[in-house]
Amino acid sequence: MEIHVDKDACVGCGLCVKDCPMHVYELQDNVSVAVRPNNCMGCLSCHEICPAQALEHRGIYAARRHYIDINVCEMLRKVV
Amino acid sequence: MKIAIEELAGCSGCTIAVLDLHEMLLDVVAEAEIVYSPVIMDVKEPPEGIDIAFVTGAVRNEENHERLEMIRKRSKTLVALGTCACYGGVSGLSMLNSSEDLFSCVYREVETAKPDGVIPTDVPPFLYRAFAVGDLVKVDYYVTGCPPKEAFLKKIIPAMIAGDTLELSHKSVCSECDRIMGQVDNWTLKRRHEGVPDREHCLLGQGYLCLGSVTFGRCAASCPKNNIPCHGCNGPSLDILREPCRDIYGMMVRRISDLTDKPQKEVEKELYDVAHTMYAFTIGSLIMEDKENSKIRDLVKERSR
Amino acid sequence: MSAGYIDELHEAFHSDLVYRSEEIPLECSPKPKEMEQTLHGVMKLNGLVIRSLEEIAGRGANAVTYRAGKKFGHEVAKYFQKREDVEGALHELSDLLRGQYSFEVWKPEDKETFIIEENGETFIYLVFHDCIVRQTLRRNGLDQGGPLCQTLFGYVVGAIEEITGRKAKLEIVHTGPNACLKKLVLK
Repeated sequence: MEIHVDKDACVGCGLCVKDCPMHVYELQDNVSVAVRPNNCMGCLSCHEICPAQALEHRGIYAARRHYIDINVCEMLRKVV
Repeated sequence: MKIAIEELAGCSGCTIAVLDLHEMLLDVVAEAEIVYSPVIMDVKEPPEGIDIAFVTGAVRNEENHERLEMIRKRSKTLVALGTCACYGGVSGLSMLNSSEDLFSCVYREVETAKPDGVIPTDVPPFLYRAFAVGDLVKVDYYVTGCPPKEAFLKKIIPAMIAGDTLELSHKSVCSECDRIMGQVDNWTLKRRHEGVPDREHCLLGQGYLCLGSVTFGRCAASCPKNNIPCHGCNGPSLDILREPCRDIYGMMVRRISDLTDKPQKEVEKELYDVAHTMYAFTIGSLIMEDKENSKIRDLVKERSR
Repeated sequence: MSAGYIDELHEAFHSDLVYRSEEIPLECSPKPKEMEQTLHGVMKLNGLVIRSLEEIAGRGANAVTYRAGKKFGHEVAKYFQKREDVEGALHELSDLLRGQYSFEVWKPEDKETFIIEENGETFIYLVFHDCIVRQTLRRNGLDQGGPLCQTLFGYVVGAIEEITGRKAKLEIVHTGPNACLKKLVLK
């Protein structure tokens, strides 16, 4: 399990530290660092709460999201 | 190559943003001829065979609808330029009042109204609501911004004309902002004119209503970098656009509540004038209205009768 | 209503297909837009029903949905081979539910075995990846962890009871957009 935090994007708000149920993140020097990446179970609550979309996960399973409308999917692909 | 810039119900700022390419405009017109643009040229009708048509402004009256259909038929690629075309934008705010109230205010109640108080009838009638361009015709690309920023258009327009693809960041304004959060204590909501913001720390953490976390980026966070809280002029960030259960108002309340450890109900009590503070640029877009938790449907009913 | 309007409706519902009772025309691969209408229609309906159920029955809604899931779990598990070990039973169940609810057995990095004993409880962590309940709740803007999640609990508990004969309980630890963490507490 690899978790990558984009240091330029991260604002050091600590919302991911508070939200993660497995305490994967810690704030160090006003940037979030994934200190226990192998404890991550891939829920992506951190992705949802991060205001700057600074997180990247590798090695997780992408759950199906078939509840999104086709016209929204199309619009998302076309936003330049 | 022929390009056109159509103006629907907009302020023409997006057409001027294309002119903001400055000297690069000469390179652009060397490759592509602008064949129709009501704001900057005298040509009255769009010709056939347009390669790329940029449409700016929302659809508010019947004329806008007809022009949109016409230019969609006569062009190969349609680009919705600007937040009004993508999401309804500022033109969508007209949905907060009924048409009767709008006309009576504009033609009777302002100081500069003509004394006879006649509401003109020889102009194209309003549609019953505002529409974003993407809700009525098939759009090929969406370029957001109010107006789209010069640095961004300098990358996009030459690439579109040459047919290149670009890899640009799809993150929110917070990712481009250089502030850090710092300590958040005794949080209360402040109006923009109250106090002077500290340049280093996050504006939301200081109590100002900065919508940077829920807004699409690409503006290099110019407003927060100049001590002004973000107003969301680039439209919603992609994670909010995508999820039917996520909405601008809901995510702001949630983030503020998580940041300050206050319960969500208390945060909601401090917020005011949600239509103009949170949804200023997205009323009029069917996608944003259809979200399950969206407050837009209630706001539009509340203000108009 | 003017006559023209009614005629328009009649036209829309008229077709020239030949219908024989032994050969009713079937649409086995519908267009994505039609499939989306059906799917989203079902999700919306379920969401509305569960919201109303919660508003009327309050905590009782959980009991209703748990029982619904449990019955179904018992029925399905009757096809399985009976076994003693819970891990094997979970493996079989996971194969069966694939596509609707896919889950895996998980442990945090500081524990050695999957069956964990803590505070007098014996439990296994389960991570649910695909979940039709999560998709329905997110489509409707409802919060996760409510009565609809209880159907899933009843299902797993009912199936485990039928296969292993042991009583169990499922608890939510955390709900997320991509995966949910649950504890299967064994007695």
